Amino acid sequence: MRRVVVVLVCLAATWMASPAQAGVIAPQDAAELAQTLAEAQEEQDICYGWNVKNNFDAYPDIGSSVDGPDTPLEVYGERQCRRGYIELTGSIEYACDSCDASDSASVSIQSSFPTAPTHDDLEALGLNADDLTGDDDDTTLINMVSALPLLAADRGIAPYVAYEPATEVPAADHATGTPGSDVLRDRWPLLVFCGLLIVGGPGFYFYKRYQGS
Amino acid sequence: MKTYKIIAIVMASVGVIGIVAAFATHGSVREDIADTYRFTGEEAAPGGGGTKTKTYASPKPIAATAADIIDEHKPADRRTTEAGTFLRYREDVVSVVPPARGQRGSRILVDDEAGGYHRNYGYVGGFWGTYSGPAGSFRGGGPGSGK
Repeated sequence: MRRVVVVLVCLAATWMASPAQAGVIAPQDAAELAQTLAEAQEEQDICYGWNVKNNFDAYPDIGSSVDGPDTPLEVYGERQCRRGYIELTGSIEYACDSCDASDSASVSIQSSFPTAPTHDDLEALGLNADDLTGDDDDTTLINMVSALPLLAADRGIAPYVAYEPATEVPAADHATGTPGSDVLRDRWPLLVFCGLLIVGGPGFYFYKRYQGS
Repeated sequence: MKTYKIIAIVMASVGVIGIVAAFATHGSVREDIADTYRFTGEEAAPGGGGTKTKTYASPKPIAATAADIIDEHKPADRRTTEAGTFLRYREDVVSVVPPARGQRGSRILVDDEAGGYHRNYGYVGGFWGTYSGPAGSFRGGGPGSGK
């Protein structure tokens, strides 16, 4: 029953946030993310949130398991967060076209737990702050925030959120896109180097021959 | 034979041998997981597909296990959620999820692409493909499709 209430509060908060705010994450995705965190809070009794500022949008990416999207996590004085909180914070800075500086981003994890996960844990999962300036910035940020309950469980702070495989999938739904070759993805530096050797060998031969003639 | 001719032949030969070796010695993520982790059994394929799910146990937590797999085999796409990490390869989907209740470490599930998408639809749906589930949106499109 409590979970239903939390979910309804998140959905209501989303509906009332008009006009919908948006930074990197689209409003609908932010609402789903907050709902996911609310369910994790229900299972783990930990408050989760995200607060990522940027210099390209009127609104930062903000949300929490307590109040849904668009509202920062209030960690003090909230009855729900007595056990503790974990929040992803950061910033995304796009450089101007005429500037020498390049786009940059950084993230960190704020928490009341001394053994809380860190930025390094996100990087170990391949979730790098630099990707927040790329085409998949929204997916990267969603993955980072979604990972917080998992990393908390990995650290022994809370139990794992249950993994629930799908039982029924609409017939029309399927994976799209084609992953490229696994070999090329893993070994492209070696393959490029070998390719240069193959091209460079004859090139070197003809260069020396031309010099000698 | 002139020295530069020998050097050129050696360069080209090393290049060819290197490329052949790169492909010949590269194992699939499925094979490496089978070699590295303790096999715990098979499950029926999600959605009634043809390839059964292989399950393995890792003594390490989820993030550390996923990081080890990623170190050896970079996925084309990945999704990290509150309940597990999901890695997409050309022909396989690897799910690193919590262990059974009362056990430590993590559980690794290896599916083919269709089975992995079906099994993890609630987590990867809309990111790696189409999603018409509740409150769903189409965000993804798979590797290389961008935003």
